[in-house]
Amino acid sequence: MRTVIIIIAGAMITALLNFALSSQGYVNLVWVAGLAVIIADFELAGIVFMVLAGFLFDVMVLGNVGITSVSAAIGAGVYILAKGFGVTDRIWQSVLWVLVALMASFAADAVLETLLSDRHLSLDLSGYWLRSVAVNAVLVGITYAVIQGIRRRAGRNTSVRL
Amino acid sequence: MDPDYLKTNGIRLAVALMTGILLILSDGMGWIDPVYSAGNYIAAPIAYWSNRAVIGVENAVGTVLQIGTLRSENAELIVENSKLRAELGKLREIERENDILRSQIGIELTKGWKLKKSRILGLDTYGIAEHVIIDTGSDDGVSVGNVVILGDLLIGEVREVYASTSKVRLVSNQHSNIFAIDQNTRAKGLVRGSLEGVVMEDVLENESLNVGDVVITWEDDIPGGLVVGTVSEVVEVPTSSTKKAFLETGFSLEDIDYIFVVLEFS
Repeated sequence: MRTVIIIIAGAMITALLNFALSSQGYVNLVWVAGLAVIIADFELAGIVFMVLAGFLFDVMVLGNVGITSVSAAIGAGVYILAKGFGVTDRIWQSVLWVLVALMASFAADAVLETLLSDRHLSLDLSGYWLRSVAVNAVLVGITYAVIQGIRRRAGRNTSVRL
Repeated sequence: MDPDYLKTNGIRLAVALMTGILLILSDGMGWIDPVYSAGNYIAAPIAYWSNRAVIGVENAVGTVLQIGTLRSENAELIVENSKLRAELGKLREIERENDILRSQIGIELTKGWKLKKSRILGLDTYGIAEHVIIDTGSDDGVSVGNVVILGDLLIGEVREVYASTSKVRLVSNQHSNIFAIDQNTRAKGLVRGSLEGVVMEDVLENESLNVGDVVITWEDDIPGGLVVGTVSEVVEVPTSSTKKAFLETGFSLEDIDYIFVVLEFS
């Protein structure tokens, strides 16, 4: 029950903050927080969080509801696939797959926005997207470090191999 | 490889994707509209203040980072201020002549229009300035197609309306397509957004555009005489029978709290 409340509260706060940061364009806190939670081995919580926060965010921006949830799930799927094949054990591997996951989320978001809304996103924006991926990846790292800090205080094993 | 891990999380991801697709389909069928209205009614004030807080923090951080250049800029601005004061007297005379010209060619000013003051809740999610969300909707008399202005400046057009919020397509949107005219040379063209900025296109080769000219709307579906922007660069392609110009809109949405929806104009 406590976990459910944390996920719902976290989704609402994340959606609101993401809306507030909407003018920046670079940052998508739904993807950032969801990926960080999944990296920290809370896959179910991360997936549920991404769908819920994505839905709430899309409602706030009067955007096509479902797009953020689908793009977040696709990014999460890329990382989970890599994790299942055991290629995210080391930090550099994890960083690499976070970047790939974020690029997958951006690409999915762009395709869905182009198909379903009046926004036309093209490869001309690729430079912008790459910068966005880098910024979001840094935020994933920071969020993951915060989650690990909380887990350490709760007394769980958090060994990391370089 | 961990097959159990992949299987378990694969099922979870499949459910998440199906949920997302169902949400997209529901939105397309219009079933989500009541959720838009209710959700934004609750979230609008929180969203507005959190947006302003983020912009405030951004401005504060930017100011700290730019302290080194502020003193020299201040000195330059003092000199520029004195020059501008001298020009002010000339501009007042030009304004008087402008009023006479507007009335002569039948372009209406915004006086007497029915306006609805609206707060900006959030900007475009990609930061490319294509849409804004405002805190007025059908409950306030706003409808699709209403023009949005700030003074005599054209901001955009309402494209989606819900009970308490609306989505405004900005002049800088790639689909804006505003019929406009150069106030000085009377050259006509189509204004829309692009990745390089706001551009006025399809101007005939024999018509002239000058840097600094003000471009206004030409009465079509939207009221005429609203300022779209100022010409900042003219681009002529030798092999083309048309030319285009890039426009500076002269405003930054991050610095604006309120804009006005034109409910009725005469």
